Amino acid sequence: MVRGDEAAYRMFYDAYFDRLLRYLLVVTGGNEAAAREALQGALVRVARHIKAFDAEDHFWSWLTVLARSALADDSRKQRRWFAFLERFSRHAEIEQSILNNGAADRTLHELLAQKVASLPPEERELITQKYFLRRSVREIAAAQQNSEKAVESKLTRVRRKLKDEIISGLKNE
Amino acid sequence: MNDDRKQQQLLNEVLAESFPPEFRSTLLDESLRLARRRRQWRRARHWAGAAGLLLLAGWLTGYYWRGTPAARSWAKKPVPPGYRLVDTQPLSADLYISTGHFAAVPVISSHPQVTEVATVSGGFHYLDDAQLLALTGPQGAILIRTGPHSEELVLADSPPAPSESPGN
Repeated sequence: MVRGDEAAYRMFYDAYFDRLLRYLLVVTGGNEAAAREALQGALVRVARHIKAFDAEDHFWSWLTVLARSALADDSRKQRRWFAFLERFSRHAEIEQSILNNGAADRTLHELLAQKVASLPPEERELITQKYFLRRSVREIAAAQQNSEKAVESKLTRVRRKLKDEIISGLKNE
Repeated sequence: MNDDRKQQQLLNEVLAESFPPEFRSTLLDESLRLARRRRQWRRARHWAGAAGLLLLAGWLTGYYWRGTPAARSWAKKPVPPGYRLVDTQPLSADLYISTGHFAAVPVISSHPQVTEVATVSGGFHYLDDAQLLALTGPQGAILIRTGPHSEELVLADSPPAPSESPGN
């Protein structure tokens, strides 16, 4: 990445894009728009200031610093500083805890497990079939005697529902 | 695939619903654009550095090969001959003459109280054997011929005096 290798950037996106987004969602307390903008700013900063690191956890710490500084800049730009401060103070404990490696992921995984468990049986079964039993959409559709498009549509709906509930859970933490 | 990884994939896909499908690809394109620019900038800086070094080396070569600008401008001005140029060269070693102190040279001087011995020529004659033996007196002597032109004269001891006889 330091040499501008495009393949390295693709690998970096595969490894850290989702992880950074999860981190920012927790830091912003479930503010999706702020997390998106901060993620964008953080990735631009990565491309501009990338350097070599000895260890992966140092690299991740550096990424979180970039993400938080991007978040602070975006908040100032949009004159939401005071709102951010309020949210920041509300989630100070969360942010402090996610400085420890993996704390953000643990928070999200716990929320996800809770929300999946609280789904109606039919939706929970669909999620189980797709993500835990690794069935393809075609296999699920055949088992349910339904079309693949209908199964895909239902999966999208359940995922959005889970996302909304996780975001809601983050905001209420 | 273990449950953690399965749940991780579910979480990623759930959270991906937070942004439009092209969001990630757009950001990746932007990052790749910045990476390309970074690479081009590094390459340009590399070549600019190399070109700069070449220019510097060329300028330095020209500067020292043809002389400094100041030296060149002086060289163009005619210098009036206000001096006479004399060529010298070192002498060879055999043309050098060295001198030393007198103290190192031994000085021979004459002594003022020299005793002069003068010899007088003539008035001498050779002795024959009989005359030589006669000179030895009554003591007794033997003349022994040791070669055609050499002889030895052996003188006998004088007899002991009566007062010195043994028994006294």
